Amino acid sequence: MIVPRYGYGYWPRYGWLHPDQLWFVVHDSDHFVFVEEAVSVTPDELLRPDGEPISTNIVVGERPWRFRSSGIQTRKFIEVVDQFEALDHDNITDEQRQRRRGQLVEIFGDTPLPVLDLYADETSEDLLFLRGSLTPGSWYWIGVRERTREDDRLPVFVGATELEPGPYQPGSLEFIDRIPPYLEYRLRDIFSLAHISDVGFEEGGGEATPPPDKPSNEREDTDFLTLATKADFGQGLSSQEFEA
Amino acid sequence: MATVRNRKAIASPDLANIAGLSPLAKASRILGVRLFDVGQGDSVAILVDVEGNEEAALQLDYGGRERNPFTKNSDVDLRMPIAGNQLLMLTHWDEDHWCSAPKGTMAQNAVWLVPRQVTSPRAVRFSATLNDIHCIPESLVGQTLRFNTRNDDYILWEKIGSFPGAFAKDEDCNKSGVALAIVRKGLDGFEAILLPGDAPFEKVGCFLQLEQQGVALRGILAFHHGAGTHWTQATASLLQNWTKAKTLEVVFSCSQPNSYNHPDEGRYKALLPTTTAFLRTADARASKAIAIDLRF
Repeated sequence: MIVPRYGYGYWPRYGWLHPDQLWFVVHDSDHFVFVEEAVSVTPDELLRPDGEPISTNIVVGERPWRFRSSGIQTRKFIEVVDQFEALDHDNITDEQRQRRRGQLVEIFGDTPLPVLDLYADETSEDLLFLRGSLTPGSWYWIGVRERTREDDRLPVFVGATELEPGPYQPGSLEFIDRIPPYLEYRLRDIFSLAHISDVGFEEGGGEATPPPDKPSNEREDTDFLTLATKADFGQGLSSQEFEA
Repeated sequence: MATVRNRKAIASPDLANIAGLSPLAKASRILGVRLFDVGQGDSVAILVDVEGNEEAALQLDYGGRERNPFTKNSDVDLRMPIAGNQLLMLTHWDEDHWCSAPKGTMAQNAVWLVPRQVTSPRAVRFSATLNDIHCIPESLVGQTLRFNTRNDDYILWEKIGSFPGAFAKDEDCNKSGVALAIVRKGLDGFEAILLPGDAPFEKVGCFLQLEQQGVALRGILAFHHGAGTHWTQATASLLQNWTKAKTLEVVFSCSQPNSYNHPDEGRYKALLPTTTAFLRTADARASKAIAIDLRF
């Protein structure tokens, strides 16, 4: 069963904490995670996030649901968040995109970003809460702890194929909580595709092509769009030239 | 009968030709598609004829998660080679559609054209490592775009749903990504192979256009690896009512076994002619092949 460790009584305190102060109250195995998948799975064919089979000794239930997320260690994110400039996603300059891209590689290039697979059986009293909360596209704060022999907490596997096997194969779910609003805003800003510019299109020009049921000598004169022509696609497109 | 939404077909010239990279400009014909065995996930090469030689002109997705066949990273380049500057389009940002790319080197040198979506930290970090990556403008959502060969064959593609913004919490990336249709003119008229990614067929406007135009259904890469999720009456009606080519092949791209219970083959069998061939990419591995080719 999930024990609400922080709960509403504690929540306002964390909401007021500056990220620098939050750093002191988080555990090394706390992660901010992005939920990618919530799905009913077949228990016999399960693999860990690192691709290894799940031991039959680990009880995930007869009819398990898997909540797959991936994320970053809370402590690491708090440590680096202020290095990233907050972007106005409606008005991003080419320089801002380049700077953001460089920072993503420089700051997170060697940072473990593990996959976290949380399992709950269809009979679990927590399942409805999890299905209603851990929806794809949401961000959550998840705490994982080492699993004990008689542990009845939900199993969470933490790892990735590119990472060395860690201690949580599985771990136990200690808590799930919301992320303080400011930090969730920064997570969504930083882990976005804002560093990628649109490929350029421009109105008009070019030669229209008929749909298959039209004879080729009756080409349609419709509105159409073409890619901008100022750069070779293969040479990399400058967002300044190619912004729509 | 599926409702045809009011969409504006964009009769564009060969899109990439304008920008200096022409995936089909040298091609005289489209030959078909190569559906790689990547375990759980999708990876598809569009095969064309260039002066009598078979070439892969465009890559769609580069995935392969659980139970992939790659024993070492170099296997990725060996099994799924991509020429430098080749166009690689991503249907959506789920990891089983791109995760082989960081293992190899060839895909990272491709020109990536991707949908703008809310996605995972892992996907964002990977995207930042690519030198030549571009998003599809949101102004084109719901509009059909086209790559032409030198003759009558062509590819239609579309970003099917809008990006709700980086701070939105309710995007279904399966329904806001990209889908393609490969169309070839044969002796009996035009035939199509559908490459929907994880999107239900009826959500793809260019698929509805082709069905309305009487283009015969020649091949299907089952959406979402053959999952039964997202099926509606509209999905079934579209498949059932679509004019079929003399030969029809359906391919399920998923690992064998897998924890998702993919594919739900019965749904397709109940709707399609008894002569339809049902194939699985995982079956290629048993015969030591790397892929299943679906050729016109």
